[in-house]
Amino acid sequence: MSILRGYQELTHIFNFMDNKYKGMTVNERLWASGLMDEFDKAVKEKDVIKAIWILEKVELTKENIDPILVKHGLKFEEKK
Amino acid sequence: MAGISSKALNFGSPENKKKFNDIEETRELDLNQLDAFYRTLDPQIGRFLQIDPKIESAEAWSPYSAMLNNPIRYSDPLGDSTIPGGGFLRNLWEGIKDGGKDTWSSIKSLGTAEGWKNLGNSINDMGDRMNPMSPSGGAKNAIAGQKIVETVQNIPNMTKDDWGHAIGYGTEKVAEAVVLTKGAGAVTKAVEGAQTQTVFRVFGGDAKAEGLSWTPKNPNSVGNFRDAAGLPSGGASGSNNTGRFVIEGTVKNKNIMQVKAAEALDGNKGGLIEYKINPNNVNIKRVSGVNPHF
Repeated sequence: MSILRGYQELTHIFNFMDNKYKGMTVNERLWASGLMDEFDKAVKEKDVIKAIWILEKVELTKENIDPILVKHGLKFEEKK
Repeated sequence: MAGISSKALNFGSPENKKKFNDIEETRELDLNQLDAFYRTLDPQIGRFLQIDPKIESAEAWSPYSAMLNNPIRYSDPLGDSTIPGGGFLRNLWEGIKDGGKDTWSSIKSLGTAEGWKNLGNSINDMGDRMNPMSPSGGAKNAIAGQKIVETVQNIPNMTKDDWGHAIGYGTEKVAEAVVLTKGAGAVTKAVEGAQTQTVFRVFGGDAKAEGLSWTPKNPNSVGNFRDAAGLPSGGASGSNNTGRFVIEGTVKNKNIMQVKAAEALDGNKGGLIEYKINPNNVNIKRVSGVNPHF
């Protein structure tokens, strides 16, 4: 694991312990963080990287980010 | 062109780089072909020129077919997988939203009522053409189109508040695009107005009563409210809305900060209409406990 990756993991754990978005829906998180417009713009422009970055900023993890990307047509549903 | 008015197709003059099938149009060597990532699309015949690289995902269809033969409803920008919610319908919608002043100019130049009627008929027609696998989606758009057609009769006498309520939230964005450009200082949403409506908030556990997320749908009328509302449910989100309590209140439309479909979370699909409202602006009628929890 690279130093950067380790740092990201630790940051994520600390954020999780101090989860200021507890109990909020995804839209509530985006609104509370002031990133709603940025997210809508990223979706509209199909900027997947930015959309993921924003969703991570509101403390969502891959398990929750992937279904949102699929819903907005930013990621193809994996075949079963 | 029968059914789809060419006037309505001209809506929103800013150029959309993504053309047919969400592919940026490139006409190299002056060939009328569109190069998707995996295959080349011939828009004249509506077919790809190579077979589907993921042929097993659509066995019932010809390997050369494009967008399940329904480019109104679907798109396939890479040429490998058909995805819903794209295609012509979305581009028209984006055009309406992005149109700004040009949208309003288009309406005026069309003679207002006639222009709206054309647009309404177009959406109505598109609704009829929707994929039979999703009849609710088709019906919804058909209704939206019909409402626009019905509304045009009263356009000259309507106020900005009338727009939102007469046309309805289903076509809120259409009304918004017009109202936003209707005149100097008229920067307001179509939902704005003095009228009030009933809203609900389900909370409990990590979700507090004073949250921003509300819905106009009575939770008792929704089959699986937790799923539809995308409530945090103790999964990867690391928090849980227990759905133990429901607040019912009223809010003035002008205090609704945003209207959006709920996103997916913790395995819940979302999709329910979600309002962003400052809880201080909600006139609370009652708070009740729920058993079993939502």
